Amino acid sequence: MRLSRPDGMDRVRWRRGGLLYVAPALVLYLAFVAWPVLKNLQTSFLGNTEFDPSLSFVGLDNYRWLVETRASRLAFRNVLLFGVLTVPVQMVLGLLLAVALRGRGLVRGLLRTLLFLPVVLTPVVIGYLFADLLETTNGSVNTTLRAIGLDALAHPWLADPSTALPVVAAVNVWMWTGFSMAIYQAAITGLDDSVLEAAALDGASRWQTLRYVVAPMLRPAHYALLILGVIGTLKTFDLVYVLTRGGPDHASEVPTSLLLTTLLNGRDGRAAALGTAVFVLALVMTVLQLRRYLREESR
Amino acid sequence: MRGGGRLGLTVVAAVTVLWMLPLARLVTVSLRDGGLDNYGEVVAQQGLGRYLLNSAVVTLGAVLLVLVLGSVAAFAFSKLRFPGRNALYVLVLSGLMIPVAAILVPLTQIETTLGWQNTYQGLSVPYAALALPFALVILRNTYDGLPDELLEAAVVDGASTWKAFRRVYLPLTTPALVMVGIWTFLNSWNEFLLALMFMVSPEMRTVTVVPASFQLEFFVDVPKIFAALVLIQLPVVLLYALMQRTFERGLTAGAIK
Repeated sequence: MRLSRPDGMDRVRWRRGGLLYVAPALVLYLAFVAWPVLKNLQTSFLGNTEFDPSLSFVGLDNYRWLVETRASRLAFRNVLLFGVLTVPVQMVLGLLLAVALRGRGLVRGLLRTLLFLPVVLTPVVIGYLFADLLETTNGSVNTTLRAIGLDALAHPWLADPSTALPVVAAVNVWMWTGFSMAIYQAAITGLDDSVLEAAALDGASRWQTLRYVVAPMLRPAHYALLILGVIGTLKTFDLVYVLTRGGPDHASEVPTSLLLTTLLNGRDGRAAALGTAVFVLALVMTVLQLRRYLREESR
Repeated sequence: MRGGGRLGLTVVAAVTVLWMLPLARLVTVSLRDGGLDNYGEVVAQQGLGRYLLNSAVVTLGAVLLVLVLGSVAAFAFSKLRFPGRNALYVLVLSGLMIPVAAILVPLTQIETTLGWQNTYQGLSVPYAALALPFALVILRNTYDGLPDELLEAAVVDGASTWKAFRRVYLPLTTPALVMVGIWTFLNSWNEFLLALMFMVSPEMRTVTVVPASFQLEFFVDVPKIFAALVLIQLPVVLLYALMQRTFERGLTAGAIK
């Protein structure tokens, strides 16, 4: 075994204390990420009132609140809906764009650069921009609709409970489609040309090639985007906060926005329970998807 | 794969124009009733310069912390043997999926205990901690790609492990450092939730927290708010224009590895 190799090299590596090298990073990570996760779990079993900030053990009360309160149930329903409205849409649009833009050339490069641009922009800034565009009376979207005679379609997009969440989701799609495109682009570049040529020779149409040859070969990219999409969905906050503050009447509330409100109301325990729920969801989703991916890979 | 057809390209060009309309609108409105004076005014009278500086300091702090601590740790995880190596690596990796929401309550308590609210380190340090898992994955992969023999040769030549790291390995990881640096820069510059919680006093606000207060002060002076939004976005867009390939690779690297 390597450990007992007498040539000296491994002894050097051992002796120079690798632990010292990782210690600073580890301490930072433990203090500000790992330990807070545990501390959050502990806090989720503690409760306080708006008048008395001191925390005392309340058992599962905060989780009962989580399950029974309308705002919290809506928040978790909404985040699920948000994921369904954004992740698959971004993936399909991104794949189509990546396929259409494959290859080299100045125009393709420029289009790629522009489509990826929203990914690097500040979500808060995008939020304020779209809040203005979607404003009911003077927003560009509604004034344009009225100008071209589609008055019937003009709508209080963010103020109507039935459109608030889908509209925030649409803005998210605007921001993140370029990301899916870039992932697919990298994956497509790595594909073996000969397989695709064989498919073309066999008389497969463009669509058939894409559907039955290319798409299955991009499985690692699908999974990566699915995992990142789910985690990203659970992290959703900035756009919601700026566009709707979770309103109207919790119609676009997500767990993180509710957590902030709850924490600012001085209910640490309930906020911690929300945080733990989000963490467990992220953990379960990641493990499930990784397991499915690994099982398919090993087939 | 062969290039896409001309028709497809035309369709995508049309889609791209549509996609860019909101941004075109942002710039046009920011210049309305006053032109570039709008920009001058938000900087001179609303102190946007200070907020840009705050964000720059916080971001720079986070980037430096991540690059230094991340490099040292990634080198050790890749090239040195020590007890608990794999367990510790997996522990840090698990941070890849932790949403900030899961730690917001304890982080607030920690910041209060340390008296770090309204300080630069109050944001730089948690930003760095949250960026470390990603940095470690990218940097460790890079070190794994460099031969072990470099270390052995350096040690045989009488150099210490530390010297081998500094002089031999570190310079070879520059592309990865740039990628991780950009990733950390973007995440820190764009971060909103922690900044909103921890930077309460007006002079310490970072750029993401500013628009809300501007909205209160300007009421509906949209051109000036938009001018501020453009300025907040400018550093990011300029960097992206200069090194877009690196941005794309840096931001998608986590997914592909």
